Amino acid sequence: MKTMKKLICIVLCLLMVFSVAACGTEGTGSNNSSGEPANNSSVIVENSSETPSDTSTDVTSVDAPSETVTPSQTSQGNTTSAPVSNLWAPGTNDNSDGGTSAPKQTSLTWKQVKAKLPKDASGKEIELYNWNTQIPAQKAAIERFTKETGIKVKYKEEGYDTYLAKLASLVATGNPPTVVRLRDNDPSYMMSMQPINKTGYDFNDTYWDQDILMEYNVNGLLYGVNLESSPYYQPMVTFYNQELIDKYSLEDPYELWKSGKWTWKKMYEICEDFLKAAGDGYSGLSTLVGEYVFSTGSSYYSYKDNKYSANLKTTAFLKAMQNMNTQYQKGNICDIVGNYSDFSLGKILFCNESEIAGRQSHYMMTEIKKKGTLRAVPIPAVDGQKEYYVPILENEAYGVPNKAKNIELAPYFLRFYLDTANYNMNSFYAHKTILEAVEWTRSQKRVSVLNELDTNRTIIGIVEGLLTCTTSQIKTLIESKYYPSAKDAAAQATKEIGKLVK
Amino acid sequence: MTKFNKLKQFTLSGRESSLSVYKVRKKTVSLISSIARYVFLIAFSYTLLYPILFMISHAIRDPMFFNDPTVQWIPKAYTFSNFQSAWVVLQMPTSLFNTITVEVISSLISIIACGVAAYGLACFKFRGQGILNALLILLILVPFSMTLIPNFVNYYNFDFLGLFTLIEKIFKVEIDTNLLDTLWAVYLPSITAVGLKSGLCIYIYRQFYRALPKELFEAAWIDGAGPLLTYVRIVVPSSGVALLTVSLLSIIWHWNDYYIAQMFLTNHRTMAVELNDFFMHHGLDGVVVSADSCMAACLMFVTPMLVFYLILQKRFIASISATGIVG
Repeated sequence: MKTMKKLICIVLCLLMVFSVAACGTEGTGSNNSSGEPANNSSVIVENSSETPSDTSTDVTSVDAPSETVTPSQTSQGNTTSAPVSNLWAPGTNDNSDGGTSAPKQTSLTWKQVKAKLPKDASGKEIELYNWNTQIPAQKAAIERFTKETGIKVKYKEEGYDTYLAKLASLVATGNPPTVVRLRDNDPSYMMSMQPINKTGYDFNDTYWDQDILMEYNVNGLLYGVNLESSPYYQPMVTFYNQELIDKYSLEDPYELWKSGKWTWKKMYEICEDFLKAAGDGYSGLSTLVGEYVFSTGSSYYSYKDNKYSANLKTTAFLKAMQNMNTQYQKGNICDIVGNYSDFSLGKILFCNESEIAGRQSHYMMTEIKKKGTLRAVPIPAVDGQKEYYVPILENEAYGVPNKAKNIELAPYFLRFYLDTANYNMNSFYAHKTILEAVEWTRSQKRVSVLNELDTNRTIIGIVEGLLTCTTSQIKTLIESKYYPSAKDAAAQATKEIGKLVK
Repeated sequence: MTKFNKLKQFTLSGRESSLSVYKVRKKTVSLISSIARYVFLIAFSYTLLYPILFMISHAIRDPMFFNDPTVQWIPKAYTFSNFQSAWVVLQMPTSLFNTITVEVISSLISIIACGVAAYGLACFKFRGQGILNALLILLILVPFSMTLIPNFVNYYNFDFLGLFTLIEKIFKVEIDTNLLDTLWAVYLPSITAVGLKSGLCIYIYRQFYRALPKELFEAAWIDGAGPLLTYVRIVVPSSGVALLTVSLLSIIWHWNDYYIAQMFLTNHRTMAVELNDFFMHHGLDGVVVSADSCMAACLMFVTPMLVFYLILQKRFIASISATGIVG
C-alpha cells in the first residue's frame, strides 16, 4: 500500500513537471515560430526614449508621425520556406507606399478563378465554421455559390466562448470543418490550423487583402486570408444618432465629412453643443479602444525586432491620451467604454465601434436600427495631420484547420463568399451612410488594434484606467520596454497605470 | 417592576451590591454583542443579497432609467416588458425543457450512481481500493477542461472496447457511434459516476457511509441481506443528510453548467447556454436586448434554484434531527 502511494505520488509529480514544461514560452525554439505573428502595416514606431516636449492638450498641436514603418522593414527577415511555389512571401520586394511586398498580378475575375476549379469539385461538400448566426445575405451568397459550382456548403454555428475549444476538439476527432473563421492571428487559433498554401491555390492576386495575408503569415506560411473587397472587414466607424442631430439642430457629421471638415475637434464641439442642449444624463461619445490614439497613427504597442514594446511614453500617444482625458473631464466621453446600449437608447450622441454593429441583422444597436435613425461616418481625422488612419478592430480572416477534408475547394469558396459583388450591399447595413463610410475606409491607411485576444480587452482596461487619471498623471507614464508578447506589454502597462490611478 | 429597574434602584440607593453590578455589566455586554452580531449579519447578508436585489430592481425598471443616477433601488416606473423580452430571448419554454431533460435528469442519475460508487469504496475492502481512492481524488482535482478533448474524441466515436465494430462486422449492421449532440453524451458519464463534480459527490457519500455504525451492516448480513439489499434497505434510508447535501449541490451544479452543454450538445440549448449568448441574439421582433432584460433573464434562471434551495433547506435541518446521525 505504501509503495503504491509513493508510486502514485511520483507519477503525479512527473505529470505536473511535463505539463509545466509543455507550457514554456519565449526562449524555446518550438514555441517561437508559432507565437509571433507578422507585424501590422502602417504602425507608427517612435523613439522610445522621447519625452513629451509640452503639456499642451491642444489637439491641433499633435506632432506628425516621425517614421512610418512599412511591412517590409519590420518583417522578420527570414526567407520563406513556402511549400508551394509562386507563394506570396514577405520581404521579397520593398514597397514604399506601405502596401504589400508581394510580386503582384492583375486581379483575376471570378470566371477565371472558377475555370481553375478541380473537375471533380461538383457534388463535394465543405463546411464553414463561424460563431455568428447565419444572416440572410450569407445564406443567399452560399446558395449562389452552390448553384454555380455544385459544391455543397454547410454553415456550422458555434458558441463564441467555446469556439476555439470546439475547433481543437473537432481537429482531434479528425473531422473538422473545411473553412474556419479567424478573428486574429492569435497563436491559440494557429495551433489548430494548417497553412492555406497547402490547398495549392495561388494567392498572388491583388483581389486578396495583402495586409491580411501579411498579418496571418507565420514564418512564411499563410494561415488566414480575406479579400480586399470583403464585406467581412472591420474598420471602426463613428455611428451617430440622426434623431438627436435633428432634434438639437447640431451640425450634420455626414455633411462635415463630405466637405472635408470632419475632425476630432469638430466632433468634440458638437458633443459640447449636444450636452448643453440635452442636459444631464447624456454623453457625447462612447469610445471603445481610444480610437483617437489610432487615428494619429499610433498604437498602444508596436512590434519591432521580434519584440513588442509599449508606446505609452511616445509623444503622439501621450498627446492623444491627454486629449481624450480632457474630453472625459468635460463629460464628452461617457464613463462606460463601449456603451452602445445607451447609444441605442438615445442617451449618447456618437459611438465609435466596428462596422459590424451597423450590419442589418447584428444584435448591437437594435433599437436605433429599428427606428431607422442610425448613421455613420468614418472616424474623424486628426486636425492638422496630413495622413488619415483608420483603426481596424478585428483582422478577420478565414483559414483551413488541420485534417480538414476537401481543402482544395476552400480558396474557391472564399473567393466567392468574401466578394461584395455577391452581396446586395445596400441591404447589408442598416443605412447607406454606413456602407459609404466603410467603402471609403478601404482606400485609407490602416492601423490594427493589435488583437491578441487578451490584449484587446486589456486595451479597453487601459483606456478605462487612463480616462480616470488626471491630465498631469498621464505625462509620467512608463518607459517603453521590450516584452516578449503583446500580452506582457499590456499587463505591464496596466500595472503602471494602476499605480498612477492610485 | 422589572429586574433591571430593581437593580437600578439598588445602585441609586447607594447600597450597591457587587452581584447587581455584575448583572448589569453582563446584560450590557450581552446587548452590545447582540447588536454587533446583528450588524455583522445584516452587513454580510447585504453583501450576499446585493446581486439578487440588484437583479430584481433592474428587472422591473423601465430601460429608460438604466443610466439615471437618481434611481438606485426603487424605479420610477415599473414594467414587466423585460421579462417578456427575456422569455423570448431565452427561447423559453424550449430551453427550460432542455435544461430539465439534460441537466436535471443527468443530475438525478449522478446522485444515484455516485451513491452506489461510494458505497463500494466505503463499505468493502478489496484489492486496489487504494488506487481507486487515489483516482477519486484525481477526479476531484483534475478540471474538466483538461479532459475535454479526449472526452470529445471518445464520444465522437464511442466504440466501447471495439465491441460495436465487432457487432457491425458480425451482423452486417451499421451502428452510429457518434454520441455528440445526443443525450448520451451527458447521461453516460453520470451513469458511470464520472460526470460533473461526481468526484466530490462520491467523496461526500463515502465519508458519510464510513461513519455509519458497522453493527447495522452486520445485522443486515445476519438477516440474509446481500450487499445490494443492504444498500437499498439500510444505507440509503440512513443517509438522508448526505443524500440531501449531494442532491442540492449536484442539481445546482448541473443547472448552472454551461460548458458541457455547449460543447457536447449543440442542438439541446439549455437556459444556461441561452443566457450566456443573451447579447448575441440577432434582432428578434418585439424584443429589447438590454441590460435590464438581461437582469430579468438572470432572475428567471436563478429563481427555480433559489426556490429549490429554500425548500430543501428546511428538510435538511429536519433530517439531521430525525436521524440523529451527524456526518
